[in-house]
Amino acid sequence: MSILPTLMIACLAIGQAPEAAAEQDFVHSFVRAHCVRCHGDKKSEGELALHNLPIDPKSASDLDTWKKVFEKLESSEMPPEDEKQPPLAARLQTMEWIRQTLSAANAPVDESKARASSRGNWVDHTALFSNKQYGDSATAGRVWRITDEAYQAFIQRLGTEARISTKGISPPWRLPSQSSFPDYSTAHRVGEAEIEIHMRTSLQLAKPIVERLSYNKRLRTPLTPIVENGDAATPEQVQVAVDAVFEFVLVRKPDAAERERYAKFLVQSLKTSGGKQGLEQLLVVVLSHPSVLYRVEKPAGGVPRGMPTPHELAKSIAFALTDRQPDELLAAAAAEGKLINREEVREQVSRILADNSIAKPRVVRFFREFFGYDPAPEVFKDEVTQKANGISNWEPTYFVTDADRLIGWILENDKNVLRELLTTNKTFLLTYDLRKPTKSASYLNRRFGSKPPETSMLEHKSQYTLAIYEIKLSTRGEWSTERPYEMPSEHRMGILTHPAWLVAHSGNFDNHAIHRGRWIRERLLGGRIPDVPITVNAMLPDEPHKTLRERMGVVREEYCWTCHRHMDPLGLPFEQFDHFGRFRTSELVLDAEATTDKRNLEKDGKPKRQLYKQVPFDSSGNVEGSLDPKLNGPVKDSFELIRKLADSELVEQVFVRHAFRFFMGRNETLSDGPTLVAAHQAYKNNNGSMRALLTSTLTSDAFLERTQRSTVDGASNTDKNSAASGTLK
Amino acid sequence: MHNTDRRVFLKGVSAGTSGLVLAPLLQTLSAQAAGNYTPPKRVIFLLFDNGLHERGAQPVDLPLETVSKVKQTPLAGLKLPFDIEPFAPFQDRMTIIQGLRGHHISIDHGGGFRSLSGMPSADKRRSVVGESIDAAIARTTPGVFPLLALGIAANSRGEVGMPTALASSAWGPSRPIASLLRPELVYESLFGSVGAKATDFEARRNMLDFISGDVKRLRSQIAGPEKEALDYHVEALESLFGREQKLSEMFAKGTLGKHAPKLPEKPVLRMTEISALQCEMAAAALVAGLTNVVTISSGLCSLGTSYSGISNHGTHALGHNEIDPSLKKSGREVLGMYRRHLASEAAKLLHKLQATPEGSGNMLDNTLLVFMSDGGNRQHTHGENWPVVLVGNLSGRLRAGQAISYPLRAPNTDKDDSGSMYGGPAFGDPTNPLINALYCTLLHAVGAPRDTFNRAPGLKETPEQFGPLAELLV
Repeated sequence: MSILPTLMIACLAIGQAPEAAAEQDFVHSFVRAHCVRCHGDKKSEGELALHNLPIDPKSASDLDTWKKVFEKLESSEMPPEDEKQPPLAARLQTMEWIRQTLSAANAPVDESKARASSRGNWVDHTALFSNKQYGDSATAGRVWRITDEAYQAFIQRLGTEARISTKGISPPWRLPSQSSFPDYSTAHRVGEAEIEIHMRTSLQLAKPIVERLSYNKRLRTPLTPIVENGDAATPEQVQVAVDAVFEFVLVRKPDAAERERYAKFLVQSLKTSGGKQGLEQLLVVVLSHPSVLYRVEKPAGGVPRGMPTPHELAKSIAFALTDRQPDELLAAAAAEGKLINREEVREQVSRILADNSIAKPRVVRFFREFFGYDPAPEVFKDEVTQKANGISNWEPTYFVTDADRLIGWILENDKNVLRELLTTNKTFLLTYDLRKPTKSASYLNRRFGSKPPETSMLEHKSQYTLAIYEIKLSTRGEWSTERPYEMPSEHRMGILTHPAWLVAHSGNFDNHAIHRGRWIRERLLGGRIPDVPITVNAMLPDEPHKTLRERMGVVREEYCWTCHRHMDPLGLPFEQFDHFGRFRTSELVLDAEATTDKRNLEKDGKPKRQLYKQVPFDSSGNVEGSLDPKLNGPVKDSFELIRKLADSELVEQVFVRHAFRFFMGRNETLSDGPTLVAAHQAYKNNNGSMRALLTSTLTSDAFLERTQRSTVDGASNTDKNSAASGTLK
Repeated sequence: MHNTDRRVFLKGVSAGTSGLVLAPLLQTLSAQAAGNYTPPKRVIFLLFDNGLHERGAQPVDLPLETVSKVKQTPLAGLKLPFDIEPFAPFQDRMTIIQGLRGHHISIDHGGGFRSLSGMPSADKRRSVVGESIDAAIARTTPGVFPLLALGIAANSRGEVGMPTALASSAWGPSRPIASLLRPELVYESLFGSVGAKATDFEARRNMLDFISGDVKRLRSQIAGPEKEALDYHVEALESLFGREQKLSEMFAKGTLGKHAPKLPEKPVLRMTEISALQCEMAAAALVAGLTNVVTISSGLCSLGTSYSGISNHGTHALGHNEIDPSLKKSGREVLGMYRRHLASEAAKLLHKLQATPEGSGNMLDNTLLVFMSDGGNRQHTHGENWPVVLVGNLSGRLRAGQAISYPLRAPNTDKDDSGSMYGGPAFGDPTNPLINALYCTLLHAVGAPRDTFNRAPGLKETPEQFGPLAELLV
């Protein structure tokens, strides 16, 4: 039975409303128009036939097939790009029908997949930048677990204020180091182990605070009467204590309901445990308040849609930029009841961004994760490989810290930030890890001596790192961590040619042209690369006598090339560099002939050692299928490719999309389109200013407004009615 | 104590508890005394990084040869290899399996959450895509701590490391279970109440209850998908609340104090010390009846530990068979020493269980140790062979004392290019069972059978390759 009769029978059988029947009819037409020609009775590509797929699926296999259809539509894998594409609204309407149908059949699609940062690009780029409003751009009320660094800073702040040691206290969790954005608001949980450790930490803080109050009788604080009087404390004393603990921990007063609840808790604790322990318990529960562990963002006053409280908003601003609690001015603004409109928020955001004395580690972190160079030291290069490539003293950590510093320097200038990052031939040199500022001085002293003379030689082993940069420095006087140096302009052009990026996107033994190409396709062109099919064991042939391009020939077969055509031609131009990040003019491959030559053989016939030779490589590439026609076409090498990318408005827009994701902690949806357009305009109109981009984003409705409605996430998150009404057609 | 005396003594203990909710251990003791005791089944997973090379698991005098049909060989009389020699006292209840496959979970450098779930994920190994086998078993035989997840993550700088990490285990998709990495924190969780007062339990319950109220209140105001995080948070608080109740009962009976191990004065930092203490904590928790399922992941399923105490050379480099210049040994030889150390600590744990009477035998009779790598046979594996060593038979539910080899192609040579005692990898036949099949077998053995375990759609393998291993189940 074809899909049409099945549909009709289903409608007649259950007496559906005309709207439902119309919806099904619409879906049927969609499937017939865009799917059945290749997935039907005459031809069933990928062993998938849809002509008989029931419109009211019941069996597990039919439900699975509809899920597959949903995923292919969501990823835009189907219809194939060389086929006629359905209008976006039709695609969304069909997806929405499948979503609801599967949900009604108790087999819902997995929405969490669409929340992953890797799916951010699945939202239609053209629609996003069409400057049309699709639905409400406010973000649903949410929580967002704070980072381990923010947790540590919070504990240290309490320790400093209470004058107690926080030595040995570690955050209960740690963010994984990943090249994609790991810190989304939906990404992390607080479970049993984390709660246990946090409660122990809380007690570890509470005990000395209370202890000091009990033995230092001259120290009169709002908590002293509780310690002294225990369960005989008056209601006023209890309330004052609750207020004081709130002020100390949460930097705000409790509201009336909170004051009542916490006072009741304290009174009960005093009865059962006495003054000291009762007070400790109060400290522990306030320290376990959700707003200690999470950023809390919900509409103030319980309204369906509105800004969070000034206090919550202050924290959101501070965590977005500094990963710390609000600074004094921001906290004061919140305490004064400011931060209730866009202008007041803009004032604070602009102030923080303009003040170079305020550390903004989140901004550098964004670039580190955007370019994905952080894992460079984790890409292991074994001794044999190093030796074969003439490498000694391999210290890739410097590449990461040097790239961090370069980004910080470009951000200070704040002009044409993305273009600079894509085209500069500058780098910092042998800098220390900015993320460990307290160690920097001792680290440098240990490395270079406490007062090394200006004329002393730079350490011999540092010369190997300098050689990779192709920068020659002999004495310490020529070296500074405070300014950038120039690498040869004919050999380097921006972060994509910086050793940090090249190494991070390499393998143990080779360049990783596929990863590099995928990075460009996704991070700069906004493309979508489907996940590697689970049946594919992705590995290149072990043929060390061939160039990488030759070995990658295996993915040219049609099944692989469908996806690899979008990656490999973008990554292969970077064959101008080896996997240690060095510029090169030829490629090192195994010399099979010389290795097996009898002069190189042991008596047992095995080679004494492997011998290598240099061979020419091909650095040409091709941009195919991007949304920017000026970008498409062949390139002769990485430099030509980078120049084209740096000139492209599409690349700027995709960069803005990634900034939105990082700072909002979620993927963009179609309703965020105007926010992205505004951020891009702000960036462009202010000479490529990151500050302008961030100010625009952090004063957008998406950042400022919260709703109590539940949103549908992911690529198809749009107001269905607006899509269905044809506004996208 | 004579069995008869023991029963009388235990009856006396339970008689004094009328009016109280009986703690699991007390119920156990009471049932033992009444003679109708069915001991719980316990499973310990000891995972480690950098692979378990096939020769590190293969009896010395049993050649690793190409076989085209499943081959079962009695272990009796065979000499165990260096890596797992510490298990020799348990050889009659051991099973060595060669030829299971894990290619579907891309386990280069460790499988992360895929190791114990057997589920592929296109994303990084940190993706939590499904239930892990230890969690599945924990659900069937819950203790005070349903699943005790421990990790070994010594850092090469000799500093105190992180308290927790998400490494191996999960209740389900996006529901990871953090592993505790520092033995002193594990002690706090398990036995921290030893020095407590009876009122401390009530105070902690009050605090957990109050905190839970705050989180629930917030949850009702959250509309986004982050609500799931708060659901998880509330569940964790409720679980801890329930645990406090059970701990207080055990405290009242002196069970915790009796079984609490001694901690060193300072936190231990070397891998050898951390692993020894984590095994000790696991043993104490099992003997005290605090848990029935333990997972210890050395390296956190991702090359996440140094081998300090054995070698100061890089973990990753050793997996590439680099020579440790201090030890003047190849990487693979050092890995053999590492695995032997872990086997030795695990054997101590097993001896403690063996020395603890239970029913008509001892605790080891009802326990299984799964000793395996987090990814197969080597660091850069493609899951072509995943050797596993089992110690224990779960009250006779598993057929032990045998070496099982599923069809595989043996390596070409006994020695690799470096002259190491280890050769190249063996390749299991593509029709061989997957690692999931072992996990499914364990579920059958603990009395919670499933047809398959985590059979992901889209894989070409047949359901049988995910189903129970007939060669292993009695």
